[in-house]
Amino acid sequence: MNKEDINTNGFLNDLNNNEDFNEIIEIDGNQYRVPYRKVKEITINVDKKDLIDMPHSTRLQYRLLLNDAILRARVEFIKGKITIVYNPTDAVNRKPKISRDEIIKILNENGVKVEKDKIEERDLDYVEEIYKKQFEPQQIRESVPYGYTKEEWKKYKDAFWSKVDKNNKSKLESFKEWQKYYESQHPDIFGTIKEKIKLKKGSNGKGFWFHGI
Amino acid sequence: MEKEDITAPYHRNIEEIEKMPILDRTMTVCPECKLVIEGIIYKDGENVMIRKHCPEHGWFIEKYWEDYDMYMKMRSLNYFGRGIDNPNYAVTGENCPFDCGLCDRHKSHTGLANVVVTNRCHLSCWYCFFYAKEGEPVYEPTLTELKHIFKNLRSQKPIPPNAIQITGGEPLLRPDIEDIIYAAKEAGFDQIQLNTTGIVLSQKPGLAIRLRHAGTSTLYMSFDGVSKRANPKNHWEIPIILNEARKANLGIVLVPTVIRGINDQELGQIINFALNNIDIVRAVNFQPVSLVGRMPDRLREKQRITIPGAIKLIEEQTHGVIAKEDWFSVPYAGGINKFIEALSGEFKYDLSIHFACGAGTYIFLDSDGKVIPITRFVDVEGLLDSLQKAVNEMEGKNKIERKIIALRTLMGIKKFIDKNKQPKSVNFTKLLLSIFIKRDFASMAALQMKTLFLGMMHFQDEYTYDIHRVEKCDIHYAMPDGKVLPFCTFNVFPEVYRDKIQRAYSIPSKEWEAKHPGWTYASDKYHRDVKSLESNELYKKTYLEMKDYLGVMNKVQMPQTIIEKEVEK
Repeated sequence: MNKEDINTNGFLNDLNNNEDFNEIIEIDGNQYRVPYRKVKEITINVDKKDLIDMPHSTRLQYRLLLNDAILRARVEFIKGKITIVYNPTDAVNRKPKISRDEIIKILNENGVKVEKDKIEERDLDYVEEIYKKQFEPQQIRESVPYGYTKEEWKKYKDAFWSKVDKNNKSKLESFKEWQKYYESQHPDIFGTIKEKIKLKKGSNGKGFWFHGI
Repeated sequence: MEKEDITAPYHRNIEEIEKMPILDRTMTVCPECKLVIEGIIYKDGENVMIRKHCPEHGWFIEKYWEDYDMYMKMRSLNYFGRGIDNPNYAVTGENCPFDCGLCDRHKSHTGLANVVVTNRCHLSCWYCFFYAKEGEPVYEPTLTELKHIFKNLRSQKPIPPNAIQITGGEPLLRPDIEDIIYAAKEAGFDQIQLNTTGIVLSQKPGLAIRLRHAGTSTLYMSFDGVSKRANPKNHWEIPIILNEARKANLGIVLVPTVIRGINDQELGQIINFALNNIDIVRAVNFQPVSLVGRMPDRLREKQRITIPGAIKLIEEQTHGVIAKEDWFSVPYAGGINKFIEALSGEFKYDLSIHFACGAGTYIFLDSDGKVIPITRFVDVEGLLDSLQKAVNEMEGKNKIERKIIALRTLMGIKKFIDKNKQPKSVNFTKLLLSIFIKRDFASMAALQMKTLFLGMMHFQDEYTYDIHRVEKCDIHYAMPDGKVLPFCTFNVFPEVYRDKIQRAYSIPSKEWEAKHPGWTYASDKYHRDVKSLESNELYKKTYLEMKDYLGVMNKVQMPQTIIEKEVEK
């Protein structure tokens, strides 16, 4: 949080009011700490003159992000558009909050005039529309190995990816085999192993450090 | 001719600077207000400098690279990688460096993933603003949340990272650290580094064995110098840590942060120390200091050291045994991977980081005690050039034609290796062929006892900031909100990245204390018994019985230990 906010009555009252808020969510049977639920997104069309140029737009984006209650900020100079995702004052969570008017004040202080009829606002489900998407990003392009064309790659990429999956499984199995060998070398830590463990032919059990076991 | 003071390039007048040859142009930020401004990289004598002008805050001059010749050599190899096909934060990156997550403009996939597992630490280093202080929230993702982060990293396309560094705070404060490491192994990471002071290993015998068993490949261990003065962090515990690592066969990478005027006189000593422990020390990775945060200009100018600055000091301190010509930038090694990829049709690491970010070399310790850098018997540039030509020739050819080109190239490898100068105990041609043909890195295991990798990694700060370097960065932090962030945005702008996200995902101190009865911030802190540590036989053996492979040991007087004082009496 911004240090100047911590000891304000407003912030402490908000913490007390939301004392029972549980940050833990469940996805596919697993629990994750996610601090936000319903947040807001505003899109503001502004005069490009106020944004000055691309570097000043970038700096404005940085200044907006300094506020912990602003979760995302995009200042698009070419489109003359500012998009902000923020934690609103009526949100039920235990994190710093900000109002739309306070955001407009920050923009005004940075030379950007905001006309209230040019603001679009919507509610956003943080978990579904932000959190999950960052963990399951869409594929936007397809690279090919060096020295190959896209047509060549199309012919054998399925075989390649299935080989990768197979390799991932077999390397974990190899690692587990190595673990048994390692345990047999350290009975003081792992106890005496009755089974005699053999190494693969050519291996000294030590591996090469840069490439794992 | 009197040698110029090292701070002289900072104090010339602008008119004089503007006449100096321009080497490159880039984008950078104003250290005061973060306005994105043009950076001009120019030659000032043997230095390469960067100058930038903010309309509100004036001129900033900083050292970029302290050797013009090395700069020109390294920049001859600088290529763009493929980036990521499924970026986590799919924006165009027009507001770089404040659009990170990674955006779809990023030029390198994750080569080394960093995952912070705790902000608790048992030390309170004066320069660190990261560790949790009394009353502050604790950042410590659960094992489930870490598995989620690991899966996120491993789902990157086309090349998921297979190297991960577990970091903190101090990761060994976590009681479930073995489970975390095993989870990283299960997720598919081959190389698992544990970033640690190592002190906990000296307190808990057998832990190193359990960490190795769980899947740790190496300890990435802070080591700022051989003497107490240069390394107050863990000088006394190092002998015990090395011993524990040996029992576990757990390799160590020594990581000195190099600060001019503080420990730069011990770089040769550090390499010599590593050679003396080459059975367990795999590499030394020097990190010239990043001067993040406010500091007086004069102090910054005096403490600044760049990669070539450190390399030249090593050359000086080792009397030319490890010379500046022996070092290469990371993209040089990319040629080897490209060749293997073109031959096999299987994606390999791009190694497409900016040439100014890092450098490295291999040194061999021969059976007669001689130290031989790889460049003394391998024509590295010629070899990599030959591999790149083969990659270009393979494009559009069928499998059989590719194999013919590869075979012809590999048969020609011998001419780049001088058998008469290679270490007596190494058949380098056979080793290279084993890697290229069998793609068998396990065959390099036998070399481990005789080789030491020397690396340099210079992370940026607001003064040296070069956006062209950031967009090619391949050392990334993976966060609990799903974002993946380049090192030099995560740490240079913590107020909008590292600290902001960690504050959002931290556990309030009261909640943490309620879940961990009896725990206090003070209970995490380490208290050293110097007398006892210095009386340990391992201490004497480690520091007082070293061989001098590089002619460095008469340069630095080791402070008298308690043992020596007793012996003198």
